[in-house]
Amino acid sequence: MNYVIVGASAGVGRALAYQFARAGHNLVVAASDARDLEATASDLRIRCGVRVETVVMDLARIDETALRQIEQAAGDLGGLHGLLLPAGTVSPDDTAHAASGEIDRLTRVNYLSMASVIQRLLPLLQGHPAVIVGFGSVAAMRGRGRNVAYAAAKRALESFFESLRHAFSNTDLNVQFYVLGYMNTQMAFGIRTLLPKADPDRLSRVVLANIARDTGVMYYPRYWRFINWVIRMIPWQLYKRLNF
Amino acid sequence: MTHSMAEKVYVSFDGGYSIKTQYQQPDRYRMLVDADAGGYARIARGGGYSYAAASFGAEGVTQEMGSFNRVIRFVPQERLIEVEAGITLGDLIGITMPQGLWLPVVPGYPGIMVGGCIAANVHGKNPARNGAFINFVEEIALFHPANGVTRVSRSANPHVFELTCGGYGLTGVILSATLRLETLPGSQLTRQRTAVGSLVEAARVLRELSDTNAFAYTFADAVPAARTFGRGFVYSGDFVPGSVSRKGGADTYQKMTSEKRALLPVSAWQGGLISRMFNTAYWTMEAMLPARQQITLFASLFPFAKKTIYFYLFGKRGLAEYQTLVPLDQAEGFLQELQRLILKKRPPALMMSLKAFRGRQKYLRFERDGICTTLNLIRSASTLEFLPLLDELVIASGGIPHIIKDSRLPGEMVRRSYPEYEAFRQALHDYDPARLYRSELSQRLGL
Ligand SMILES: Cc1cc2nc3c(=O)[nH]c(=O)nc-3n(C[C@H](O)[C@H](O)[C@H](O)COP(=O)(O)OP(=O)(O)OC[C@H]3O[C@@H](n4cnc5c(N)ncnc54)[C@H](O)[C@@H]3O)c2cc1C
Ligand SMILES: NC(=O)c1ccc[n+]([C@@H]2O[C@H](COP(=O)([O-])OP(=O)(O)OC[C@H]3O[C@@H](n4cnc5c(N)ncnc54)[C@H](OP(=O)(O)O)[C@@H]3O)[C@@H](O)[C@H]2O)c1
Repeated sequence: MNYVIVGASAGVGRALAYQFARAGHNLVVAASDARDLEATASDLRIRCGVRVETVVMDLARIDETALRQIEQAAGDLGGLHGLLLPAGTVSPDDTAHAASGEIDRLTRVNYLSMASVIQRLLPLLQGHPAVIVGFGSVAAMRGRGRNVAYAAAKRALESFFESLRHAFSNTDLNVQFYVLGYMNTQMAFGIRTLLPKADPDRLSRVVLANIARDTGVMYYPRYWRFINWVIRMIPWQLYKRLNF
Repeated sequence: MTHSMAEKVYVSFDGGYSIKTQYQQPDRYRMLVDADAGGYARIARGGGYSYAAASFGAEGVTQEMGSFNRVIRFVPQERLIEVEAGITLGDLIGITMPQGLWLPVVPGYPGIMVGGCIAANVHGKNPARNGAFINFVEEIALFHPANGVTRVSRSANPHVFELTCGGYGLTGVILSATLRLETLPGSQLTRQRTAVGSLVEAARVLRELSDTNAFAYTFADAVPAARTFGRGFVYSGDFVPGSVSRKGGADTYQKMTSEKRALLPVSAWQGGLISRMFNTAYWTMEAMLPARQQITLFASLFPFAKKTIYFYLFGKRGLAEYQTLVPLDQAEGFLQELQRLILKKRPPALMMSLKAFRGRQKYLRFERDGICTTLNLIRSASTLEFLPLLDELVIASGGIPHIIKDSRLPGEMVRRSYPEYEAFRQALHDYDPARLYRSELSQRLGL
C-alpha cells in the first residue's frame, strides 16, 4: 500500500517510515530539509526495497507549489492508502510573551499546514479504505505558561481531527489521533522529565498494528490518559500554583 | 543558531577515564553542519568503543553520530557503498552480505561505527593480508566549520584524506564515506585451531598461516605462571566456497556500551586465582571441541558479539589493553622479553593475542610490517606500575603502541615511538590553526 508521511526525516516520523517500509509499503516522505530526506529515502529504498518519493516542504510557509508537489507524489504512487502527520515543532521562546511571528510559525507548523495538507490529499483518500493519523501532545491537556502557542495549535489539531472523524464516521476513511507523552526524540532532548521518555520505534509498531482499526483517540504511553484526567480535575486555585 | 546540548558522564571503554561533559545528539544535517555549536571545541563520537577517551574530553562538546546511520548509495556491481559515518559494522555487513559482498577489515565488535573505524584506522582479523581500514576507504565527506563540507580522497584533497584516516576525529566530522567492498567467497568459514606452547611458536605459526588464510590470530594465556604462560591456540580459517547466503546477513548481538560495561561495582577477576581458573576453563573447553569447525562469517568477524560478559566482569575499575606493533625482526626478542617481564613483575594479566601485520607507517596510524601483540590486564595499581615498563620495552624493540587502545598512554611515549608524530601535529595545525576538534586523547598527546 502507499502512505504519505509528513515529518518523516526525524524522530517519530522517521521511525514510522522504517516501520511502514519494512512492512512493504511505498512512501512519500516530506520534511523541510532535502539533505535529511534524501538520506532517509535512499536508505529506505536500499534496506526495504520499496518505492520512496521525497517532497521538501516547510510547513511554516506552505504554499500552492508544495501542496501540488505532495499531491503529485502521492498520485504517482498509484493510489493513496494513508496520510500520517507526525511533524511538529516547539520553541524555547513559546511563552506568553512570544513575538507574533513565532506564534504564527508554531501555529502554522503544528496545525494550519496540517489542515491544508489533509484538505489537499482528501480526494486521494476517499472512495476506498484509507486512514489519516494525527499526533497531538499531552502539552495540550491544559494551558500552561510554557509551550503556549504549541499547546494551542495541538488543541486545535485535536479538535480538527475530532471533526474529521465525525465527518467520515460512516465512510471507509479511518481517522486516528495519538496524544503523545514525552518521546525520546530531538524534541525532548536535554529536557528532564518526571516520567520516562517513550521509544519512537515502539510507538511506530503500535501505529502500524492499529492502522486498519477504528481506534479513535489513543494515548501513548497509555498511562497518559489517566494523567490527563487527573490534571484536568485539578481545581484552578491549585492548578495556577503548579510549576511544570 | 546553537543546537541544544545536555550533560552526561562518559567513560572510556577501559574504565580508565571518565568525565561529565556536554553532548549533542544531532539527527538532522542542519544541527551538525549549519549550527555553530556555539564556538565550542568539539569532537565526534561513534559507538564509544575506544579504550582511550578519544570521542570526549573535559573541553567542549561531544557530538554523537548514531542518527547518521543511513546508506546513501549502494551499487553492488561496482562494489561500492556510500554510508553515513554513524552506521554500525553489524548493520553494514547485514546489508552487503546478501549481495555477496563484504568488508574484509572490521574490528571485533559489531556496534563499532564506520566513522570510528576511519578515525582510528582500525584493523581486522588478518592485517597481514588486508592491511588496515584506510585500504577500503575511497572517499570521505568531511565537515569542518571553516571549510564546510568537503569531499576528500586519494585524488581530492589527499593531504586531508591522509590526516583524517587515523586522525582520531581531529580534522572534523566525517559525515559519510564511500567504501570499497570485496566479493564474498562464502558466508561460512572453517576455523582451524592449532595448539602452541609458547608466544614465539605462536608468532611463527601465525606468520605462516596469515598468508594462506582469510583470518589468522592467536589467543594465549597471559597469567603470570611459568608453567602455563604463553600456551595458546592459533585460529585460522578460510571460506567454505559457495556458501553465500542471500538472506539477511546480520546476526543479533549483545548490545554493550562503555558506560554499561563499567556498571559492576567490583571486578570479578579479583586475584590471580580466578584469572587462572578462567584460562584453565577456556583451555579445557576449547580442547574438547573439534579442532576444525564451521562458523558463520558474522561469528568470525565479531568474536565478542556474544561474549560481552568478558568485558562486564572487569567492572567499574576496568581493564587495560596494551596493543603494540613490533617490527618482524624484533618480534621474537620482544616476545621473550615480554614473557620475562610479566613473570618477574607479575601484573594481573589475563590473556593475550597476536596478529601478523603488513602496512606502511604514516602519521599516527597503527600500521606497519610486524607482529601485533595485545595484552589484557585487570586495571589495578600494579598494572599502572607495570605499563610504563612495557612502554620502555616497546621503545627498545622499535615498536609503536596503539593509541586508541590505552587511555593512559603518555603523550611522550607517542612522541618517542611514532616517527611522524611531529609531522602529524604540524599538518593538523596547518590544516586547522584554531584546532577546533579536541578530545582527552588529543590533549594528552599534545596535539
Ligand atoms: C570489543 C572490542 C573489539 C575491538 N576490536 C578491534 C579490532 O579488532 N581492531 C581494531 O583496530 N580495533 C578494535 N577495537 C577498537 C575500536 O575498533 C576502535 O576504538 C574504534 O575507533 C571504535 O569506534 P567507535 O565507533 O566506537 O567510535 P568512538 O570510540 O566513539 O570514537 C573513536 C574515534 O573516532 C572518532 N570518530 C567517530 N566517529 C566519527 C565521525 N563521524 N567523524 C569524525 N571522527 C569520528 C572519534 O572522535 C574518536 O577519535 C575494539 C574495541 C572493542 C571494544
Ligand atoms: N518528543 C516529544 O516529547 C513529544 C511529546 C508530545 C508530542 N510530540 C509530537 O509528536 C510528533 C513527533 O515529534 P518528534 O518528537 O518526532 O519531533 P522531532 O524529532 O523534532 O521530529 C519532527 C519532524 O517534523 C518535521 N518538521 C518540523 N518542522 C517542520 C517544518 N517547518 N516543515 C516540515 N517539517 C517539519 C521535522 O523535520 P525537519 O526539521 O527536517 O523539517 C521532523 O521530521 C510531533 O507532532 C510532536 O509535536 C512529541
